[in-house]
Amino acid sequence: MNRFEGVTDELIQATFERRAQRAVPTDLRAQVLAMTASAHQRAAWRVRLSEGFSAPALRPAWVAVAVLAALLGVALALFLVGQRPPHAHSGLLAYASNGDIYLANADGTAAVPVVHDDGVSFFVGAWSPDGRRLTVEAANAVYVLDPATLELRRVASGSGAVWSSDSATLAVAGRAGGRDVIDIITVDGGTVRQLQPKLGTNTTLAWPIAWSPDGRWFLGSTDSSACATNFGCSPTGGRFVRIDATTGDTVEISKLAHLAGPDGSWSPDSRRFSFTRPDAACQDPPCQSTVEVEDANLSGSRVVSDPSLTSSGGVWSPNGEWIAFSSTTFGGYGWTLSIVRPDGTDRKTLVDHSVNDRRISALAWTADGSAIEFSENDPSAGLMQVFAVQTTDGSVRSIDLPVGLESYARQAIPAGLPVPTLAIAGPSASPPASVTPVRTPPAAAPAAPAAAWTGIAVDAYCSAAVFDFATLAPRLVETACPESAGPVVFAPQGGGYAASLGDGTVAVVGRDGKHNVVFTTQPSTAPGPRVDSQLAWSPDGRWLSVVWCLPDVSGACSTPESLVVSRDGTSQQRLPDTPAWSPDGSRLAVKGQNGDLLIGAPDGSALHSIGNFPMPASWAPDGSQFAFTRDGDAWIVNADGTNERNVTHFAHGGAGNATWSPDGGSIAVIQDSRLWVLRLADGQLRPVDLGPGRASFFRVTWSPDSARLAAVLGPGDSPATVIIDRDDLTVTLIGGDEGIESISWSPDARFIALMSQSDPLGVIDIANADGSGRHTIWNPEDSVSGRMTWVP
Amino acid sequence: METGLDTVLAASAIRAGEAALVDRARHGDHDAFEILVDGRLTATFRTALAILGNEADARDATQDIFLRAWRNLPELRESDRFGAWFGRIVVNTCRTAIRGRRRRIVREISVGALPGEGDALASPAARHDDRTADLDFLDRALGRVALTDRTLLALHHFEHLSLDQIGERLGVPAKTVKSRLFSARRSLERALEVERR
Repeated sequence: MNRFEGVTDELIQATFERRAQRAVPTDLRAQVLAMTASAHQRAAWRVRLSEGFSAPALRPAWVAVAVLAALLGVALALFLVGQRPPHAHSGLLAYASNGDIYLANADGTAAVPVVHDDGVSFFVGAWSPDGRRLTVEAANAVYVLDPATLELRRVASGSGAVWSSDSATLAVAGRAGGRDVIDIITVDGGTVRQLQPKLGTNTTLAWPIAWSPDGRWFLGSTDSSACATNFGCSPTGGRFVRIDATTGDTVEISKLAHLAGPDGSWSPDSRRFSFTRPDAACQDPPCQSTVEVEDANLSGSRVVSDPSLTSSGGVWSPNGEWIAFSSTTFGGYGWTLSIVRPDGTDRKTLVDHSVNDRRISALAWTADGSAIEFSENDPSAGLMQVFAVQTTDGSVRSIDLPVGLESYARQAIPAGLPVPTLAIAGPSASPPASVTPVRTPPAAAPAAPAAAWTGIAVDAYCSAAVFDFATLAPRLVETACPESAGPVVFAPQGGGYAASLGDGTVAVVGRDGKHNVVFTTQPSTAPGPRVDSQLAWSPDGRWLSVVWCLPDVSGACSTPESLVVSRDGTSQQRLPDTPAWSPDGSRLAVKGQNGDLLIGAPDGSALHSIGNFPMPASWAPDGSQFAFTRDGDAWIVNADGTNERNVTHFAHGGAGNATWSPDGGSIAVIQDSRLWVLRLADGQLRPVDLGPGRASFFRVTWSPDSARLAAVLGPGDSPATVIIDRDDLTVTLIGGDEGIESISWSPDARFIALMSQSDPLGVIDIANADGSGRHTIWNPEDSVSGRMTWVP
Repeated sequence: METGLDTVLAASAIRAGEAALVDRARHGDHDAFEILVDGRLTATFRTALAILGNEADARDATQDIFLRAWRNLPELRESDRFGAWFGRIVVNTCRTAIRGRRRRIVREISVGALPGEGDALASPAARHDDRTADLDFLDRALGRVALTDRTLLALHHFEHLSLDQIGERLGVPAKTVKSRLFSARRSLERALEVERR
């Protein structure tokens, strides 16, 4: 093409002005004022300290009683199935609240907790079509719950299991040969067969998928795009496909202009299905979309929703005569719930929220087809509630479920069978009051590290910045900051830093801020710009790990390039993946192309396989062993692959990370919603007690003397920062309501630095090791990022 | 006729009035905050729209910007610095507005819709179409560049801020802004090359 050879300032200005040529939405002012009027202003964190840490949930003892009662109640109920006739709300309800699974009667009453683990947060999956079992998901694992016995069995990794129509098998996500596969398993977790869908190169399958009742087909969304740096994304994008459940042959039904949720629904006779087709020309989600009905043999689809609205979530009624779906005006405001005949006639709106912005989703027909249950998410209140609308008169009733509902599913009751009821009501929904064991730090003068440390170095958006304790001012040491420059990565012990200068070039900068070497890494594959580097230093500062992205012709970063480079750039060793060094710098681990773990010398040479292990979550300080997580537990193994052992044996898995203490005596294990400390001398595994409730742990960091752990606690929008004593596991709250991005102990273990970036300005705080004397030393009023490094 | 001194005095008076409102809002006076919202809502929404490119994201970002401002006002130490402080919130919020998305924009480009070499000279109407097509083309390319680069270009070409003012919002020296603008412009040109394929 010959047009548009250059871009002028005037054209850029005109483009921006055209973009912004839209009137302010009439209700935006009201929404802004309503949001701010109901939001609390921040107060100084020291004030919040007095409020203590609390999180709503269940006391273990209370839960134990409740589970026992539930066991009796549910078992009794299911053996003495009730005699009430089927009605609109038939079938037991399963729902998750505060990470526990509850069963409740059809109308939401008599709820009892049936699955609980302090360390794991559970979500409801789906009832089997015969209503006899329920899938439950947690911590990247799928479980099957038998509500008659309350036996909970782990059957697979991953999430999004789908039942076959005969309730005998499940389809679950799997991986084989580097590709996504569909594993068909029994309800006990036994393998039936493995289906390899013909998805194409670098294509993944999104879950859940929809299995046709006759077992012949799956419907699902695939994703073959990958974002690469600032070149945007591959234009190949996603597809909605039909997969042959026997051969794996895949046929495209619709392109997905954006990553739409998997949204296929089969008619009860398997002859047709509904799906959501997004506007193919859409560039920015949310995109306009229609609900369409297609024959199983793909002979041609028909739009059944109003084309002027954005519709999705089509679900067939039990008798196959209606499809329910939700719609919104373009842009995601104002929701309706409608039903329509599969041929597109008789479209009726049953629920109209076009004025109050309560989002309608998760549509499900009741077993007799007389009503549709749906969830409403009120964005302004952040709450999810469940309602049912009668298809005959549009009357809406609320289902009595607790505030804080996270997921729910109604038991399927095949026609003609009696409706089960829970015979024994559960305990009070209100947990007893409890005294939090979390303490506040002692009063102390502001932490003063100036006598021992020069300052703290950070990456301040393409610039190396050192906050000087003596002058109480930052010193900015700018890099060249070219296009494709990556973040500044400081060497250990304050020994300068490294920065990517783009296209394969790395600068290593001394402590004085001057470049002392600039080198170019040697490309191994096709020529072309190498962008988006990731740099990391070995613990002794002698080696750099350099990972480059080489965008392919579509812009996707499908072949990252990894090297180990000496500090002066003279030695360069190519690796199959990103390496991890042992703390003493004596060994290097990297994942091989066949999935084996390779161990070698710190310069990347002499690599040899020690077997099929994950990458080390953490090395022992002397490099003789490493810890890793697998199948929900933490394990340790010798560096040569021998003496592998499980060190946690969690009932419901959930181990996500493990961090070895610097003295080698302990390992901190992060479970789904709990932190444990393992003492290696005697194998004692102790949980950190936060009082009632669960919390997710992030950025768990040992102090250099191994006496303490620092961590950030979730969940949600009320994070807290704590220091935990390794010996007595007492927890000291040192801050709350801030987004701590990184934690750094001073190497002498006397001080701790906390960097926060959210809301909205970057701040670095410093405190004594026990959490006392915290104060802000630097508010750079810009995005600071990366690790903090103490400068001697 | 308004003189430069008049302009300075008027701006000073506005700042003083705004500082009083900010001071009240800092102490929880929502009525005062409402007046601040009225004074900045349109400009904020349009800036977010220019950067993010679609109304839904701009609307979400605008709400988030004012919510962040309200929540963090007690931490603003100098009320007369509200403008710069608020500007940084706008920039930071827009820069992170689409961070949570699972995937970035995917688009298909209809190259066939564009004229090729040897096409006839454009009529006045065609020139108008060319202008529209150029803006469409550039708009798509803008959608390809990194959000940080797009933000920088918007601050310079849409808000018409000086390098010093942009530097104040980003917290970096003006010379750094200059090099980043150069870099952002190159990114845009490379995005245009991708659009041409």
